[in-house]
This record gives sequence, structure tokens and C-alpha cells, in this order.
Amino acid sequence: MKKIINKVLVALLVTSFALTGCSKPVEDPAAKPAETKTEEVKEPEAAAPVEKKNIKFYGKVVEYTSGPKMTDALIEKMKDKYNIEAIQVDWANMDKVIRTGIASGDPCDIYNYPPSNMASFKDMAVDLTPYLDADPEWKAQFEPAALAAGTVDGKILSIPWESNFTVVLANKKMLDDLGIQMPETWNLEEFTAVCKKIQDADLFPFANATDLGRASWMYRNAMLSTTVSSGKYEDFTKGLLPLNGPEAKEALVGVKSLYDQKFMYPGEGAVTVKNDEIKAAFYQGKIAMMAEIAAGAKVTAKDAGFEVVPVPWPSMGKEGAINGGYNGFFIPQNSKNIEDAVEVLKAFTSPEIQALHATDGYIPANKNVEITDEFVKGIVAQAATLRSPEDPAYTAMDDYRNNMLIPELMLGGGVEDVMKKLEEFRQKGQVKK
Amino acid sequence: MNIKKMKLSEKSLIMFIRIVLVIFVISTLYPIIFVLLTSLKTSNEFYNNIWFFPKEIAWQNYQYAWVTASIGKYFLNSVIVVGITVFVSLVLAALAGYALAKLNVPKADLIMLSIFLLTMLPSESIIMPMYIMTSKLKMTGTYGALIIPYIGWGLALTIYIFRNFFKTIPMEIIEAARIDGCGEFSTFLKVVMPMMLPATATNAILLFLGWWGELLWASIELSTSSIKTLPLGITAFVQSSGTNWGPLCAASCIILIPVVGFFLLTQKYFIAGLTGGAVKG
Amino acid sequence: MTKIKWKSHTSAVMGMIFLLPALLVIMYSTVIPFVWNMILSFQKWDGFNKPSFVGFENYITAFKDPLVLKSLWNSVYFAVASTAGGVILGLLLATLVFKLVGKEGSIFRLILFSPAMLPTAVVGLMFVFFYNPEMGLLNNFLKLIGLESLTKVWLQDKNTAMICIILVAIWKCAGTIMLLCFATMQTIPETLYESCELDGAGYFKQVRYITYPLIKPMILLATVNTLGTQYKTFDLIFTMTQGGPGDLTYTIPINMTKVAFTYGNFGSAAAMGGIFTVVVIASIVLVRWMLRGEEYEY
Repeated sequence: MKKIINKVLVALLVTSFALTGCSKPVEDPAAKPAETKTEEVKEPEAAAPVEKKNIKFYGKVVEYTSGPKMTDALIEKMKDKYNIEAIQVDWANMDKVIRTGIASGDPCDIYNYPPSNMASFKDMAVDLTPYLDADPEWKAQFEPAALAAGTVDGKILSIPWESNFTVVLANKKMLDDLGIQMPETWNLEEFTAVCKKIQDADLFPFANATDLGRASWMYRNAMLSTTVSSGKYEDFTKGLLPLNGPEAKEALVGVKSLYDQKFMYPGEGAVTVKNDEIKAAFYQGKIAMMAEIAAGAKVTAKDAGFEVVPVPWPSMGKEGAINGGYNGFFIPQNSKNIEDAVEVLKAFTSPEIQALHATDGYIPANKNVEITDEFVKGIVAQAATLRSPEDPAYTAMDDYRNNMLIPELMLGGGVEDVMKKLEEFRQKGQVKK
Repeated sequence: MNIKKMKLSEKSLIMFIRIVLVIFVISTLYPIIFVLLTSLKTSNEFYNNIWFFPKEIAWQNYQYAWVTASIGKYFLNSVIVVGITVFVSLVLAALAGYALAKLNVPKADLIMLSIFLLTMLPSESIIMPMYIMTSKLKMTGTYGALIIPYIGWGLALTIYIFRNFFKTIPMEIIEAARIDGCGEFSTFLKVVMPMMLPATATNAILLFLGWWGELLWASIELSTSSIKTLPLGITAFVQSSGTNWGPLCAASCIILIPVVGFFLLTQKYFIAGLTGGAVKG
Repeated sequence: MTKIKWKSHTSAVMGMIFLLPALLVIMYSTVIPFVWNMILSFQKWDGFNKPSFVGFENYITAFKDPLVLKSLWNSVYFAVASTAGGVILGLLLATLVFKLVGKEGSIFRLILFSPAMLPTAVVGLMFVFFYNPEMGLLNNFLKLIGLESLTKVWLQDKNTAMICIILVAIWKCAGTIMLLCFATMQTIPETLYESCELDGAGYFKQVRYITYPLIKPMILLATVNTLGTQYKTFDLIFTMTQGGPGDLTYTIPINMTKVAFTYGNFGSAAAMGGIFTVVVIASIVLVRWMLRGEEYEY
């Protein structure tokens, strides 16, 4: 009797192991591969049915209404040649996903990743310059600044597919009520005057989130503005301009003054305020102007319940300048299908698929696509002052700008300390080159 | 006279306990209610009215979460993953705990301690090697890729709890069963396990809870898979352009329901009386 | 004589058979990563190119890095404080709830346990709003009862940031501890309480002399387990402050994630993990020593 029970239990154990080991992944209906067509050979030249390659495309951005549409269109367009598996992008864990994928030797063939951070993957991404040079028509569809954003050490590592930059959204009624006029650009003095007016009405003039990688916006736009005004812009983008010089000082002092005068929501807590909190306060009519990313502008404006207009970013120098950013794709060097991945990228960045992005109110990188949405046009008009950002900063420096700069500026050593740190980073970065 | 006095003080004690607990309950409950209320607001309304009742009840959040955001599908996946994990963990841990408690395994304390200490390695260190191993075994994105590590990582605590409970069983019972001719296995199964219901229930709840909401490993392992578990589904609502609060809270409520159900189900096994009286004559 | 020896020998063999499946899974999912990490901590690797051996360099750099030391301190502070708070609160709640029977007890237990059931991401985000200086519940509540002078920027002020997160952690983990203690309290025979009561002891005296000593092993277990879990916390702190402002609430898991996955420096992260594991184990050994005592068989 006991022997039977023993055997039964052992069998149970073994079965449970077997069960857990041999489960198959559930089919995702969205990525249904098209049937391999076995066509009748009508013309003698037609080739025999080709084995379709599987391409893993880590680029389905579900937070954009156009995201799934674009990937569906891509799959449809390439269905004769490739089985494209469109995988949803997990923004919070992108770094981890990409690194573990590459380390395992079986990565996705295409990864979505911000071009400005490509420096951290420079050893692992395929150099796309030869492919772009071989296809000038393809290359011409992108603004030079867009390609420059993903260039590290002279190699183009990232293909942009979306244009993204910083904008300021304002509560129109609030500004109208206070009699504030919308200028083309405004420098620190003009902006401060406006802010004082708003502050006197017991409202918060401005807000910039410190999470989601937005904390560095204040500094970066300020630097772009001051260096453009002083004519040292070229040097700055190449990393040759000392970051503890007059431009940096002007930029940092300007930024600090906004915080010091408590123009930034919610006053003292502005150093750690999150995007959610700012959005809530903006919707509740407590903030006049909030910083937002261009791609998210339309949605934010739509949900506001009052009229929202884009206004220029305050410039710390004489001339206005804002940070041009993009979203892009790169191909890992250990992908098994590099050539095919390039084909897929070309298809994704083609005007017809990029147009889907524009229709939904976003800004594609392909400059041949026309933008028809009025609001988005207004946003894009802000991009008149768009400047190519600095050479992709190496990761430690970018991390500092995003996470440590504002706290150190406001709660720590102030302008002097920040300039010292930035200059240290810059010099380290030069040595690496 | 004494009995009357005791009854009175007993009653006032219970009253006192009730009052104190209600205070705790209020502070515990408000955040839960917050999630519930938010799940019934549209995101836009949420930003304008964070703390109070929704003006319009937005049932569509639930529909959006379940259907559009595929929470329904992820729910099933989570049930499969966690269900199998809990079951197998309980089996393996009960056997192991019994072995370490009663079966004269040499250096049992040392084994127990080492197993426990191994789990002290931070999870961030573990995901890289696990991912590479899973990939080499061609198991990336399968249920097994989650289940086997989950079992492994949860075993230490489960074995420990089982072992502790097993230790409280007097040897006489086991001796009695052996004398009656039972082999080790049937002793374990027929005599000892029935007494272990509170332990099993405790472990089941802890395991269920621990793995129902696991996020780190699932988000890496399933990043390129079409299978996703519930916690992954939830984080999809927290995006690079902000948080979609309405559906996020709706999804959280959906997640809560089975946990609450499981909890209530196993509550009755916590009632005393199953271990007392086993040896008394 | 030999019969008894044989019996204990077979039971030991059976014991090892019983133990085997569990050990196999543990080997796969814990031992192998552990060893892998130990090796990696002496190398330099970016996840793509071949790793190169660098000896103790990673460890030395880690010890010299002020950010690592600050993360270590924050981790210890967070883990110890939240565990202590959670255990005390959980024990208290278990003691109270123990006296309530039937449905009433069940409902109280469910509600007090519910924080543990919420996903950490939601909890973190929710409390960010709670602590918001301008529209958060906490500051508005203080203003309401006239204590406006006490309002602060909770998650930014260097005196309060860590404590605020710790309170959330306690809120979340007390329920689990309550449950564990409660389950163990169930195993104490009624008779012990009865005889104590006849001697004239009230409930709280009974608790002190009977309940606590008898569930001490479980208290120890709950403490050690919670300590380990709190050390590993990443999600809660990251959602609330991202480790900021600056390095105020930076913990080792956050540091490791950044070094490994943002900078691509896996060797350094592994070294940090190694140092961290030693610290965690040391804490646990210390706690075990502090809560030492006899085990009672009842």
C-alpha cells in the first residue's frame, strides 16, 4: 500500500516539474504572422516561395495611439518577406531589457532607444552610416540634426523615427486674465516680469518635472540659449567649451533665480516635484505654464478642460533655443539579421507609415510628412528655435544632469559646485575620446 | 462573584480592542478606498479631484483595463504562474521541511541556515545570470521561465516555516505510526500533514502574495514575450508621458480581488484546534 | 541495537530523498547566480564584450565611492527602521485581533492585511500625492487642524524624506507580520491560558508571560524575513523619490541597478552586491543574537 502511494507521489512530483518546463508561449493575436503564400508560378522568373525571416522589433509604443497602428502597418507592409514580431516597449525597464537581451546572445533585432543616450551602447550598436550613405534617398528624409543626435564618435548609431522636444504649455485664460501677451521669445528679464505678475495673483507661474528625465531640461535649454547668444554654440555641442565659464554661469544663475523666487511649482518642493503632481496642479488651475514633451503635448492639452497654448521656453541668454530630442532605433551588433533589420527600419521610417504618426497628432522624424493638426502645428512652430543638442553626453554625466544637478544647485553647493562638477565630467568625457 | 467580574472585564477588554483596531483600520483603509475611488474616475477628473468621490462614475476604466489593456489575459497568466508555483512550492517545501525537522538529516541546522542565507543576495544581481541561463535553455518567455525561479526563491522561507511547525509535533506520534508499520512517506502524508493545516495555509498565503505581485523578474523575462503577468500589465499604465490613473487603479482593484478571495478562503484554516489534543490520552 | 541504528539510518536516507527536489531547484535559481556574481565581482564586463579580470579593483572603488557608502547607510537605516516598526506594529495588531473571534476577527484581519495586497507601484505613486506639499492630504490635514507650521516638503527635506518612505514601508508590511504571529498564536493550547486566568492574570499579563515567549521563534522568523525583504526594496523607494533628491534616499539596490543597467558596468554592480550581501547577513546574525532565547515545546 505504502509503495503505491510512494510511487504516486513521486509521479506527481515529476509531472509537476514536467508541466512547468514545457509550457509554450501563448500566441499573441496581434502578431499573427501572415500565411506563407505558395503562389502559382505564373511567370518563369518568379522565385520559389522564400523562407520568411523572423524579425523581433522592440518598438511598439502603446502609449501613443498611433503606436500599434504603425506596427500593424509595418507588419502588413513587410509580410511577404518577414515575420515581424512587434513587441511593446517598457520605458521604465528599457535599459535592463536591452542589456539582458544583448548579453544573452539572443537580442531583438531592433531596439527603440533615445538617440541621446546612445553613448552607453556605443560598443554594441551597429554603425548605420554605411547603410545611410548607400541609400541617399533614405538619408535625405531626416534632418541632419536628427541624425546628429544619434551619432557617437562620428558613427551614426541610431535612426530617428520621432521628433521630440521640450515645449511650454500655458493656460490661455489665465494669461489672458492677467493681461499677459505671448511673445516670440522672451529672455530672463521679460520672463521674470511675467512670472512676478502671475505670482502676485497667488498662482504658480512655471513648473518643470524632476522625474521622467525632465529635470535636465532647465539647464540644457539654458546652456543652449547662452552659448548660441555668445557664439560658442559649435564648441559647446562638441564638448570643447569649458562648462565653468561665463555661459554656464549665466545659465545656472538664471535657472537658480527662477527657483529662488519660488516661481516653480510648488515652491520649496520644486526640487523633487513629479510630473503627475504638476499635471494635477495645472489642470486645477494653479499653474500658469508647465513644461511638457512635444509628443505628449496634444494629449495633455486635450485632457485639460480649458484652452492650452504653446508658449516659448524662456531663454537665459539673449536668443531663444530649445533642446531637440528624438526617439530612435538601433540594431544590436549581435543581432542575427542585421541587413534585414535595416530593411525593416527603412520601411518603418517611410512616409506612409510615419504619416500615421502625424495623423494622430504626433511629430514624426521624416521631414517629408506633412502635419495637418492645428495644435501640433503650433507646437512645431516652437521648434523654430530648436537646436541640435550636445554630443551625446556619456551616461554618468547625463545621469548627473538628470538627477543631481537641480538638487545640488538648490540644496547643495549652488552654482559654483555644479559648474565644477560639470567641468569635471566634460574633461573626463574628452579624455575618453 | 469572581466569574461575573471576569465576564465584565472580558467585555470591556473586547470593547477597548475594538476601538483601537478601528483606528488602525481607518488609517489602513483610506489608501485602499483611494484606489477604489480613483478607479471610478476618468484621468482628467482625477487630476482635478484627487481625494474625494467621483462626480461621474467611470465604469469604462474597468472595461478599458480588462479588454484594451488585456488585463483579462494577464489575469489568466498570473493565475497559471502563481498557481503552479504555490502548489509545487508547498509540496517541495513540506517534504524538505519535514526532512530537516524529523528525519535525522545530518547537519540539518546548517543546511537550513545556508539555504536561508542564499536568498539574501539582492535581486538585481540575480536577474542577469538567470536571464542568460533561461535564454540558453531556450525557455525565454515561457511560463516555466517564471515558475522555476519563483519556486526556488520562495523555498527558503517556506521550508523554514514548515520546519518550525513540524518541530512542534512530538516524536511520540511519529514513533507510534512507525510502530504501526507505516513507511516514512505514509507517516508524512497520513499522520503528520493533516496536522499542518495552519502552516500550509500560512505558507500558501505568503507564497501567493509574494509572487502575485512580483515585478522585477517578470518584467525582464517577459519583456519580449507575448505572455505577461498582471503586475506587468499594471506598469503599462505608468508611462513616459505620465500615469493613466483611472485604468491603473481599476487594474489594481482587479488584482486585489483574487488575493482577497484567497485570503478569506484560507482564513478558516487558521482557526485553532487542529493541533491541540493530538497526544493527550 | 542494530535495528534502531538501521531505522535512524533509513530515515536519514529518506530525509535526503525528501530534501532533494527542493535542493535542486534552489541550486538552479540561487546557488548558480550567487557563484556567477562572486566571479563577476572580480571582473569588468559590459554585457557584450568579453569580461576581463580585474581582481579587487571593483571592491576598492566601491569602498572609496561616497555614493556607495551613502547608499549602504541608507539601506541599513531603511531596513532596520522599517523592520522594527513593522514587527512592533504587527505584533501589537496580532495581539489585539487574537481576542476577536469569528467573522468579526476575519474582517479586521482582512482589512489590516490589505496594504500588503496592493501593488507597490500604486502604493508609491499614491503616497507621493499624499506627501505633496501643496495639495497633499498630509499638509492639508495639518493646515485644517491649525498646525500649519508643521507643514513641510516631506519628500525633499533631508530630515523627513527617509522617514516618510519608512512609514509607508511599515504600513505595508505590518499586516504580513500580524498574520504570521496570529497563525502561530493559534497553536498555543487553550489550557495554558485557562490556568493562567484562574491564577488571576488579565489578558495583557497572559500575553506577556505566555504568548510572547511561545511565539518567539515566529517573531524571530518574521523579523529576519522582513529585514531581508526590506533590504531588497527597490520599487517603493524608486517610485517615490528615485533615490533623490540628490543622494538623500539612494539605496544599494537603486545604485546597483543604475551602475549595471544604465552605465553597463556589471562588475562594479556585482561587487556592490557582494558587499551588500555581507552587510545583510551580518544584520541578520545580529538580530538572531539579539532575539535569542529558548525554544519551547508545547
